Amino acid sequence: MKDLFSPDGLRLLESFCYANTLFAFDFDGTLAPIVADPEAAACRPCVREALDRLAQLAPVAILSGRGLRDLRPRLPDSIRHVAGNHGLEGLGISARDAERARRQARGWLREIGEWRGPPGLEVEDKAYSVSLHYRHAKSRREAKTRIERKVLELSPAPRIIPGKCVVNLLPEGAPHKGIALMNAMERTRTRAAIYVGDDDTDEDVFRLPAPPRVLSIRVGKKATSGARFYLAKQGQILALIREVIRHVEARGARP
Amino acid sequence: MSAENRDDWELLARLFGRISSFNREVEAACGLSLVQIRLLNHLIDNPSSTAIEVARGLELHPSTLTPLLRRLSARGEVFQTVDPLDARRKLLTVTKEGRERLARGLARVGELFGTGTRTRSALLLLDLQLSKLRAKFPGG
Repeated sequence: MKDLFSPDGLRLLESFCYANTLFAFDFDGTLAPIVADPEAAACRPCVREALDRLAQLAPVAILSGRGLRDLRPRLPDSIRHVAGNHGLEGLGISARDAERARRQARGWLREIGEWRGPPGLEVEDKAYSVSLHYRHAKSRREAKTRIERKVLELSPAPRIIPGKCVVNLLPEGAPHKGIALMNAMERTRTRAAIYVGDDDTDEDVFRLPAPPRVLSIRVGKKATSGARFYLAKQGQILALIREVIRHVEARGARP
Repeated sequence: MSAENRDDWELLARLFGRISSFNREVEAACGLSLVQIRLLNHLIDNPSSTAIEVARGLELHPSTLTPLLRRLSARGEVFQTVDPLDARRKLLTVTKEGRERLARGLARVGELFGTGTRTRSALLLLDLQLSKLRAKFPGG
């Protein structure tokens, strides 16, 4: 992994800005800093403003683990391509896949509802997936272990994607963020993409086989990630978006 | 060989000569050959390509592509960087200098030669015809 703000990283970023490129981002931990209360998560006003500007110049997509209804109000209206539920919701996911996901999530919620989980556990019903948050647990490690044991008993077995103080349960074999990105590229008729994410669910994008041509950027350096570049901290997202805007403006708008 | 066949081969050879001299004119006028223009355009549309991907995309033999890339890199118009995920792969991108040279070159070619719908249709037909001929050869 290389620092995006290294000379090589900046040159590659620039070259992507001159191609027919989709600019895609995760939300929590990428556009918005991680906060103790997920309800309070928001982009800083300067990031929101920059994102809005970029969406007026070029195609922009947001791929988030949040449900669409929760995510939409947190974004500028100019962003037209949004996928929620780790790619399960929005961006052309088939009705059959969505219904299958909804049925499975309801089943897991029933099983988890009957379980006496660790104190501080918060179960989030995201309609198409389930998230088990343990940020407020007294012992996070213990809570995580108990959650991991419990989810192994669920039927049908979910795809387990760990996040920051959260365990996400998604239907096995269902569309994911990588597929959502490809759908967004097809919709926007773009041939390349820049994707920035910070979580394990973003690895589905980072590990897409080439083509499609994706400049993958992770918030936070991690040796095992499939991303090519990293941002040292979430606060650098503003500098990244501004750098992209500078090049896109020089190239001429291609909304 | 029939007289008709002889005429066909004669015409093909003349075409080849004309295209070569046109290419020299283009290079003299804008500093980029037709293949270099095509390569730069391809790399702008497909940033961070590897040489193998470019050779495949442009149907160029690697032995043709290597000197082309070397020349453009030496002039600072193409930039090569090691893939952070695989040190054996080199990613190719067009630099600002490359984009500027291409824009200047295309503008100059446009001024000098111009292309209209008729010219484009004739060139497309020629391309189709040559592809058909090539397909008759083994490995074509």
